[in-house]
Amino acid sequence: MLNVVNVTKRYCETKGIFNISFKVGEGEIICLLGKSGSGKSTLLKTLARIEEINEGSITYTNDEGHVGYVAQEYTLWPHLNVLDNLTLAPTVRGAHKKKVQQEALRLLERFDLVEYAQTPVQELSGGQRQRVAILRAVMNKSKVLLLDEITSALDPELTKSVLDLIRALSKDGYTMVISTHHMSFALSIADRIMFLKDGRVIQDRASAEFFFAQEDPEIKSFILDIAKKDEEIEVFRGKEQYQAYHLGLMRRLPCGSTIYIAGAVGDRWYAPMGDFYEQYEETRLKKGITWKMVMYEQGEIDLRLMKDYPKYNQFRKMPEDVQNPANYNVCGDTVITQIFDEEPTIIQIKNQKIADTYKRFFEELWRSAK
Amino acid sequence: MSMLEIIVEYKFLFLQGFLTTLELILAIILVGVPFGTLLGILGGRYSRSIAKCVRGLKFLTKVTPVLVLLFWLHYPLQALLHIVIDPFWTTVIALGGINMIATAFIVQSELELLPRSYRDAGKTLGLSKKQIVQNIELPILLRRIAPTIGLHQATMLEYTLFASLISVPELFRVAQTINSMVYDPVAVYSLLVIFFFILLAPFHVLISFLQSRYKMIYA
Repeated sequence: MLNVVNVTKRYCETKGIFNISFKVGEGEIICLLGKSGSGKSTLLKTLARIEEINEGSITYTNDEGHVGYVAQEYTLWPHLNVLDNLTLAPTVRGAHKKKVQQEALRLLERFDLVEYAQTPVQELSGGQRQRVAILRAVMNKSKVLLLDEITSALDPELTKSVLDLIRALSKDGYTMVISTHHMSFALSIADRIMFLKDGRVIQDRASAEFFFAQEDPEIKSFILDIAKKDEEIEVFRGKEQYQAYHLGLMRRLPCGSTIYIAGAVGDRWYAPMGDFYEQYEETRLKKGITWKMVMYEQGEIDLRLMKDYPKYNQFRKMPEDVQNPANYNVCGDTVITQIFDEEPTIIQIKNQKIADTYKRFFEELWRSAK
Repeated sequence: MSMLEIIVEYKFLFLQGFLTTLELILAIILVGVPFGTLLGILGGRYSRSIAKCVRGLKFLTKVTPVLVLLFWLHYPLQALLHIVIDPFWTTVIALGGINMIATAFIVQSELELLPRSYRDAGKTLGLSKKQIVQNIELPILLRRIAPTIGLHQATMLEYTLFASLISVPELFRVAQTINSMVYDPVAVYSLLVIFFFILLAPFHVLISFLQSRYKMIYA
């Protein structure tokens, strides 16, 4: 769908994007992450052909010469109402006005905006404006959407409405390249994450792998930073918080529930729990909470638990051919990932859709595991 | 004499003053608005030197009182150049020039403020440069500048009063002449108020209409 080869856009010696190459398949969704000034917006602008590139090539298959691009600043034309914003470009390019209007109204209806069809755009809220801007890009008949930090100026409630719209469009098969700072959103929607630094792509990998199996200390710290700002994410750092979190989780979970655990390695989880592990285990067994694990390696404690309480400790070994380095737990509407550094860290994502996706992924792993 | 009697008695003189004021403001608008718009577009989009020049001239007009400029053009400049220009045209040159610089400044500033993202949005939606100018930038710009430029034209109309001081027979000058004949300043200057109301009211009604209709922030 999109092929980017050795693209360079240079503003000065150090500013711009340098030698970027990647491919995006049809229906694939890529999220761009990176600090401010890392080159995300420049990359999106070059993909949208707003910025001329100095070197390299950008090719779209099924290219009609235009893509859908929505920027972080509001781009709706203020002299037109919502409907006219949606229909201006197609009609100016020669499409039949009435047909285009009907199509626009159908689209507005689908996304609960039809009542605003005749409203001047400056009377819309920030979230409504960004949704209309996305729909205007959709009206362009392009199957590629380039979205640049479109929620950065919105409060959490409005952000949710915009992100829900993008999720709905992702199901329609749109190919998207999205720059965002919302970790939970990126996790729920992206197939791949590309991390940019100083105008270069320094990582391009599957989203779960990127967030949950990150080895690079700098990116790890970036993930923790954006996680702290995310409404749906909570970060717990240090031994005390780690222990308190797990004990609290045991108390919160209803009796008979199951924790799905993927990608665990040996006994390393137990060490930071220290003396509190016994209290945790006692509560778990009392409440009949099951650990269902697909593991890379089974440690001594794991083997003992399997032997003593097989009903509550269902462990399988990860098939060798499965590449799933991500370590995550799913329970109810929550996904937890843990980092076992000197300072153990838990990242908790409370989002039913993400939890469902990861649970489905876990079930597939479970079936293929021994 | 009552106001009505003064009007009947000096109707031709008043009419002449009224028409001179109208001609004056029309000439000032015709000189100022089209050339100012052109200069503003050149400065706002194509040439940084023109933009700097417009800003410099705008500063000069701010620090030079209109009356001083008018007198300077009427007496010292013409004496220096050994030419004689009709006071009517001296006024058109002075006020038309001020109007042109002000209009250029308004257009240029609005063009500089016009977010690039509107153009970019049009570009990514497959519109050509010409289509973007015609359908997006020009309509937005017109809506933004029309009330401000309109308001400025009303100010220019008020400035035409200064033309009376270099002997242009416009409304104020005519009123002064009639008053020197009838010695009834209350009636004569009250009539002047009415005439200026007739001239200025449509301007301000139009401006208010434009302001309310095109009340637009950049969305």
